Amino acid sequence: MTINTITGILSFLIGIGYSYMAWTLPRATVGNPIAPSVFPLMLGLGMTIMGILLLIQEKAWLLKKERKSVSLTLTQYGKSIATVTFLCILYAFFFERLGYLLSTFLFLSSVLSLFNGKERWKSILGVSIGFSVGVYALFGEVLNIQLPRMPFLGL
Amino acid sequence: MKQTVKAVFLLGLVCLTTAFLFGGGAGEKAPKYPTKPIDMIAPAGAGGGWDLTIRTVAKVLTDTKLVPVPLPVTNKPGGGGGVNLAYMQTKKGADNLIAVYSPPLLLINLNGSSPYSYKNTTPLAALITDYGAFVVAKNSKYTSIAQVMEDLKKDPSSVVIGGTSAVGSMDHIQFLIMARAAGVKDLKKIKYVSFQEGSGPAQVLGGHIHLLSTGLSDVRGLLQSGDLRGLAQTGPERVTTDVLKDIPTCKEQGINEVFRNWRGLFGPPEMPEYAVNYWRKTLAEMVKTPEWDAACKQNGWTKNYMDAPDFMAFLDKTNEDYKAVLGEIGMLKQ
Amino acid sequence: MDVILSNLSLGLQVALQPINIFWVTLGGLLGTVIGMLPGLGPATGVAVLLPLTFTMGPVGALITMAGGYYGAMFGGSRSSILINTPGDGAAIAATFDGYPLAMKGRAEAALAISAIASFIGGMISTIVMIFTAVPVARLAIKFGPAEYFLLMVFALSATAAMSKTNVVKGFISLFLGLMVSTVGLDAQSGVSRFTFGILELQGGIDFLIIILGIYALGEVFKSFRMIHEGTRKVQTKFGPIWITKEDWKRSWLPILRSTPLGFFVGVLPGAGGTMAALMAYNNEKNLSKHPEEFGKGAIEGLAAPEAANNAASVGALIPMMTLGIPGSGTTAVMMGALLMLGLQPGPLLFEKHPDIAWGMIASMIIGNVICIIINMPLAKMLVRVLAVPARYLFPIVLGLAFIGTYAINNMVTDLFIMIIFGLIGLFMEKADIPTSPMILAGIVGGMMEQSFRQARLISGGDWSIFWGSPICVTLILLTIASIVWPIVKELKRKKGTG
Repeated sequence: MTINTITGILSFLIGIGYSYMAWTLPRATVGNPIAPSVFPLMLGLGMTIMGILLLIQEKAWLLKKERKSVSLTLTQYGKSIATVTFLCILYAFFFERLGYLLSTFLFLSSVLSLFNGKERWKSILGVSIGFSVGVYALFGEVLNIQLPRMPFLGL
Repeated sequence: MKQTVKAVFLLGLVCLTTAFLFGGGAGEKAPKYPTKPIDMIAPAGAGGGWDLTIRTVAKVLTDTKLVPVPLPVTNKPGGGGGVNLAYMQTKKGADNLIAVYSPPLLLINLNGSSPYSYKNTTPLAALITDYGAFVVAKNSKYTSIAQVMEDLKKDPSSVVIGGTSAVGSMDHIQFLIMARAAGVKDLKKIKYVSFQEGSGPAQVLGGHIHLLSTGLSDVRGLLQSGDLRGLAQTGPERVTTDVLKDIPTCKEQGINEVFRNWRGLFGPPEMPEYAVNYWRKTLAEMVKTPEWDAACKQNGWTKNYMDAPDFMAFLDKTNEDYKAVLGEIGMLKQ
Repeated sequence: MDVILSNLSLGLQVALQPINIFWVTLGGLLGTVIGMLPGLGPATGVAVLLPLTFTMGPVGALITMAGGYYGAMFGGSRSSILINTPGDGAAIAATFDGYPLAMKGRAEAALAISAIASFIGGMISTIVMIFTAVPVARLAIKFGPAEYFLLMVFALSATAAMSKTNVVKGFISLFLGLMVSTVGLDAQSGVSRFTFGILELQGGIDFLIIILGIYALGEVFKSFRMIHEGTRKVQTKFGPIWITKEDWKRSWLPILRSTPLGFFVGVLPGAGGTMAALMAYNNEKNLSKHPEEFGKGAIEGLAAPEAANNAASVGALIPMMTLGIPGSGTTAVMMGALLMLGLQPGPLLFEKHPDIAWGMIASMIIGNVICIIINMPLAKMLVRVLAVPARYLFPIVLGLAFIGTYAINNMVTDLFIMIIFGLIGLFMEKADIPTSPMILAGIVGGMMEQSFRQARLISGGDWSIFWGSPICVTLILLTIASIVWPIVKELKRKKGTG
């Protein structure tokens, strides 16, 4: 399977799914009842057609130059990307729960150690403490914008 | 790599436990309040009516030294205030968070765009009232709101009304309330166009819509210069600030109805009693200060202080009123 | 003419008072810094200045806040160029060619041209404002929903020429952007669309969040490979912040063309700097002799949007000052502040308080000079960011992307949206799907649909509203030209080579 085939199938599915959602939107009670759905329906249809077109192009070998097949095994970068994404999700999850200072410190030190290895722990600690405290203070003190506080400590 | 992540997690756990250990005691009795900054939330972007109100409140409270802690203002825009209302549900029982709201708080619940309502907050006090206004361009054929209503009675879709809020929210509803009182049938058929932030006055000036339903103080400059003509204001009696005193009320023109754009402060649901008491007391003091008087005057707001119990009763009643109108245009979701 | 000049000299007297020079410097400096920080745009910048302005008179307040506004336009592109992370919406277009320029080792020129273009855009607009503020405002109110719709179509039409590689993929990207723009509460019906029951999505998805995901997060993802292969070179030697003669030759005309465009889009309530900058970028790509260089570090692709967004920030002040209509969040905050100081902006402002109105306008001439004086040495300091080793730089970029995203709406949901779009961007890159049609479509899409429906509602279904005014006809012709022109250009070129 080539990347273009995947893109084609995905666009097709997104188009269909989106159109279905557009069709099942609640009807407007004031004015034309289907007014909120018209534009989305056009988009859904357009997306579906583009997906089909891309598949046809691909099958008809129109895109020879761009043809790339995809392997499903993760490369080393793939693993790093997955790890960073996972850390990002955790960070977003704890952003308000742990407060800005703590969550940012934890997140940055994990990402930094991913990039640097543990040996540089001193600079890792330095950068993550510096960044989280610096940003927090800049927002709170200079800009007067309160970032999420740590629970209980109120910092 | 794995170990690093693990180590960091452990560190996190340690920090968390420490936080619990140290913080646990302080949260229980809380004899002294407030000791930490209180977040003042405007549930809309910078620059709107809510933003202006909460910033004014924060400024007056700080200037008069009524509140000793910092009162940083945060904007949480979206969904006509619904986004912040959902956020407040995650802060049940918090004592460090106050938001400003007005009629949309009730409307977004009644029209189904938010599952939460004023009942999912702790009303603290009503502070001010701003009234709505119906304005037309200076070359419009309309010189009174009664003429508009006459035309609407003949054909409900003959006049194009514009406003800034979404269909089913404030600018729309305040006009429909008046139309209903004037005896217009088929409220559903009245054309209402919602415009992006701030562009409503430009649309009525340019003659693209016939009438703009808006806040009384939002178009003061254009009324002063005579570019816009005020057909009616929605209060029980005329607001007396400068040019606004020349606009007749709906009542004067035979439409026996009032629309108040009240604004009040709300805590999160289940706000602790000590915090509620503190804010009721403080806000009661604030509205008596000359600083507050001056701010209201400059913004063209009418003072309308109501303590929590009265405010709650007012909200209950107002909610029923809105329900009736939304029911009539078929936008009531419940 | 004489009246204007005497007014201007009155304004200059006000603006040249030492205290007011101090205020404009402060405003410009703070604006630059806030503009630089991802997620914090001019609206926040002006709101931050609010408490301070309560202690000044109306003149000082207005001068400082206006300084903060155009200062943010200067600052926003700094982070676009250096770390692919736009500081605010109006700086989105600066990432397209600014960052590639920096990667080519031409960060100094990129920073310089962006400051120079900003300066020229701001300066010319200020001068135009002095002479035409009132007639321009009167022209702006002629824009009804039909005109807005056609303007958005014009903006989008330029994308037709944008994806050279594969038209189908270009359209996939375009539709995706339009789909994102439909998320949220639909103002014309009160119906929530595509929110999946998530209340936080009712406000729609701010496009800056998507940009931060695709560009900032995407850049971090790519960095793993670059670090491993050692392809990312750390720049250690820095030249002076200046441009070559060749750069100037390529940029001066785009700057002069983009300034009036940006200025006028800025005047229109609700449109704003982001749209102005993107439209300027697309137009230049359309008109350019070598459009294939766009996106790969074409200096005029940076100069044009930079001139346009500064021009837009000046234009946006016009409806507020002359009509009392704030057309954007930033001008709404400024108007709120003026009201609190007991000043009513509106048509009578110039008559009743000429010293304040003209004082502010005159101060913008000084402010623009001050901003470029601030920005050049600042750029010399900032460019050293490129000397930071990738293994430290990218985690910090990640941290900035998160705080930037959060600061837009103060909402955690936005963080998840950013991560999702980081991954979508990764896929699009792998699949060779261009991102720029999606970005443009996402930004103009919402307004395009809404104004279309507003127009249909007003006209009662009569289609002629879309060609009923001279402005409509002009916009239609412009749209046709922008679609046909690149094709003609291509044909000519093929003839030339073949």
